[in-house]
Amino acid sequence: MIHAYELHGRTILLDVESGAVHELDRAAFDALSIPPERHTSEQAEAWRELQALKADGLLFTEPDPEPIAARSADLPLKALCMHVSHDCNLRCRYCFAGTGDFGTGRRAVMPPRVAEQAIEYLLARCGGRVNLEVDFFGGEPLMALDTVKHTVEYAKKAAPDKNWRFTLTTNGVLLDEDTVAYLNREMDNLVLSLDGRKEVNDGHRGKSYDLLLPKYKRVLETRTGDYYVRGTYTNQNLDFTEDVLHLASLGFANISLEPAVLPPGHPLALTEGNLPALCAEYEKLCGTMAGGVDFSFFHFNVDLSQGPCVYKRLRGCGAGVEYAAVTPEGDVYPCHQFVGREEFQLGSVLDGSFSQEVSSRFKMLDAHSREDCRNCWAKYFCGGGCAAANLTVNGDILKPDSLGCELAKKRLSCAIYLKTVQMCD
Amino acid sequence: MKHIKTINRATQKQSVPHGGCGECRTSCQSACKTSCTVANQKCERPQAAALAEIKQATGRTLA
Repeated sequence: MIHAYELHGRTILLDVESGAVHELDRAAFDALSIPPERHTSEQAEAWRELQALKADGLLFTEPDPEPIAARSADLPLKALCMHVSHDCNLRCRYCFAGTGDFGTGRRAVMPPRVAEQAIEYLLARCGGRVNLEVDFFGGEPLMALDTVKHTVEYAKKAAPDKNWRFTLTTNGVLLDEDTVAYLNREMDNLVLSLDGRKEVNDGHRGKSYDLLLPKYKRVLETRTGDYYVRGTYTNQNLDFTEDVLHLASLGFANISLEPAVLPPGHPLALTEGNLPALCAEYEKLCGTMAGGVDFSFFHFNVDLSQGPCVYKRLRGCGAGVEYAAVTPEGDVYPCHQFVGREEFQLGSVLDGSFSQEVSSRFKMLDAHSREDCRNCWAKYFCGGGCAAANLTVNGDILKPDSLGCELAKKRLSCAIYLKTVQMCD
Repeated sequence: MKHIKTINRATQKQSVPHGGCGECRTSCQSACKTSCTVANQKCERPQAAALAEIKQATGRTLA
């Protein structure tokens, strides 16, 4: 399978199974779609070059059966999303989490004892994995900072031989000097929420722009570890390039702006009708970035040469298998977006239970288990998509969210284009 | 080549022999978290070790 496309005057060819990427001239690009007997002499010459790539295993390659067969192997749990707080002090209008309580009706903070049990749960199920991840999430996790601190301390003491990686995603409201210092010291990655332009952010996030900006700038001044400033875009700011550029103008170097995940009919939900405008906007953003910028855009980051192995690419996000979310009450779900959907509850850290029946449903989400994904050129980049988005949009974790797929493919096309520009110019 | 410039060689195939160690970060493609999509993660295995294993498995030396 190949994916050949044009973007901003360049013609790019991805060989899907090998991962090889080539830039073509017009003759080679046309030679792909015209029968050889009708090739001009220039196209015939280009066709011979394409055949040479094929002979070298760089074009028209076949899937390797070994990783496909191995993709459903039993894998240990290695990452927890800890919902240390099911409460929030911002209440964004597009929140998928029911403004913090995930629709449970219970606003709660995770007690330190439950956090300890969550760490023990992870350690009991991680097998020989050395790298273990804990993401502090919510609601707003800084509303449970004592639990965060307790968890970090407990995990390090319980298993000092593991390489613990802690991440925290915050709305920033409670950041102060001491908290920033603590997070800079202990968190491998810090994710700071801000939606971009003041009027866009404040339209959904409670007039928080002026409160958050000085706090985030303080993080920027003091932090040496990874961070992202991340926002959400909705149907109200389809011109989100302006929000990315605004965040860049504030000095943020690592930026993410992601589409809102909302049920169909929500007043802020993106629709198929928005797709042409959204695709044009991603093209506009990558065209701007191709000219040289001093920031990165998360969804345009693709590592073509040292990226993950084909096994990882096939298995995808690992939700419900390698990754799980824990509520303040100790309930375990396949990921943060499934919290509150009782039919998907995996178990509990309180009694150590883990449902193989629920977990096995998530193993079917890899990039080769479903025909839609198997025949998609982007399968090794997305890994089979997002089960939660599928459920939200289609009521079925196995049925791909077509809008999400199209956006992912557009972003990946832009990302590969940017790599091509970087490596050729 | 006159008509084609190769930007990236077949690294995906090259990763097959070592079998997937599972030590890489988990990924999340949903909109609510800025964690990794599959494509932009780094392989956790040291490059030298990966290349040595590939050579052992395939007899090929890769650049």
